[in-house]
Amino acid sequence: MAARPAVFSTGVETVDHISHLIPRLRRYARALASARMPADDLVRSTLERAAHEVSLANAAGDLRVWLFGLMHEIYVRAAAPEQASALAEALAPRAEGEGLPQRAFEQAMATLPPQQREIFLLVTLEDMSYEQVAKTLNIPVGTVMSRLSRAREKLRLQLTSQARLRKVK
Amino acid sequence: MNFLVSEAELQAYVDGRAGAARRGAIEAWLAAHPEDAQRVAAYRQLGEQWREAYAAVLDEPVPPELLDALEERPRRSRLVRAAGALGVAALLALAVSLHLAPSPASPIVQRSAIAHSVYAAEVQHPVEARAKSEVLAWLSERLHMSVQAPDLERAGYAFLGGRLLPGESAAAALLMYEGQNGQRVTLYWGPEFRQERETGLAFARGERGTRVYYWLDDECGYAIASADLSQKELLVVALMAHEQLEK
Repeated sequence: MAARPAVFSTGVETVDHISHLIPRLRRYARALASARMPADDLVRSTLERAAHEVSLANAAGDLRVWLFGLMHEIYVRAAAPEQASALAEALAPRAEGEGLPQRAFEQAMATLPPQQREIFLLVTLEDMSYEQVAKTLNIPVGTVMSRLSRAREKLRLQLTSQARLRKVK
Repeated sequence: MNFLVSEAELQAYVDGRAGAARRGAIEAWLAAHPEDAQRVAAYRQLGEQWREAYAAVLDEPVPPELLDALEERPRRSRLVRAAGALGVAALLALAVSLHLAPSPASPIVQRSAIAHSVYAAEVQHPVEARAKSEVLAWLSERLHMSVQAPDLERAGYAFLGGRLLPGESAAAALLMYEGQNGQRVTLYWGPEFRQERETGLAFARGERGTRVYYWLDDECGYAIASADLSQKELLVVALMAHEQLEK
């Protein structure tokens, strides 16, 4: 095949790379577990925005950071009013028959503020470095560290008390 | 030797990201502080639990509507070849101009999107039933400028015709093109949207899913619109029109 002009073929390749990241975007979105914005809606909005701004992807450098950063902006806008109702969300019945462990994790996750959820999941599921997390969420690395610590401690206490409750039953 | 270990270091240790130089100190600290060692173990377990709980999502087939959102459609290959014909220079110019795009979106976006959705849907009379040269001469007279129909054949779109439209406060023109599968693209000429400082190509979304690439120069505002093409396909057409009209 004849060589294509660099600028355009980069755009096409970028879209290919993005499409390979879709399963990871979905996993992350699923674990963020927002009742206000179902996981695949969040992924769809992210991909639409990515397609729209694909010409900026290369300037951003790290494609994964760029993509999860777009999702972060959409998620924060959708999740902001939700903070107050986190408990209600945790207690809300789910329509789909979800597995028990996921349900327990969702409940624990719902007790965290949106940004702590994001930090914990980017580190845990995406195995991002703290610098990458900082860039994705556009916050200082120090903030990433302190919130990661708080998120983990809250989740640990949540799961311990859930386990205790199950034993009592 | 410094045996004081910070909370951040403990977190990094959980993730296997503690520097090799500090690992010994951290492990010594954990040996001396069992409650911290317990926390570290619990945090590691949390990570494993979460990864395990959501691992199956990675193997789920991606729903087609998510791929659609990326607008990666098969018709692309032909258009990519057409883009090749445009040359690197034009594409570089575009890459630069995208960053100089006017913002916020010009009112030409709304105008051209409405014109597109009204007339592109028309099967019987999308355009005036007249010869190409006649239509262009007539539109040129009414718009007080030379209205041209760029050649979009290389991208697979044939000229269908044109019509005169009311703009916001002056006359405008709409030229229509059609692809082999009936996809329609329109080029909107709005002299009232002209501006001194020439803009680069900019993208915007209009009414009812219409996508628009537009640019403004000191003579006229131009908008390439389509509801049938993906953004990328439309970009190739817009580049082609831009190149010919800005000569």
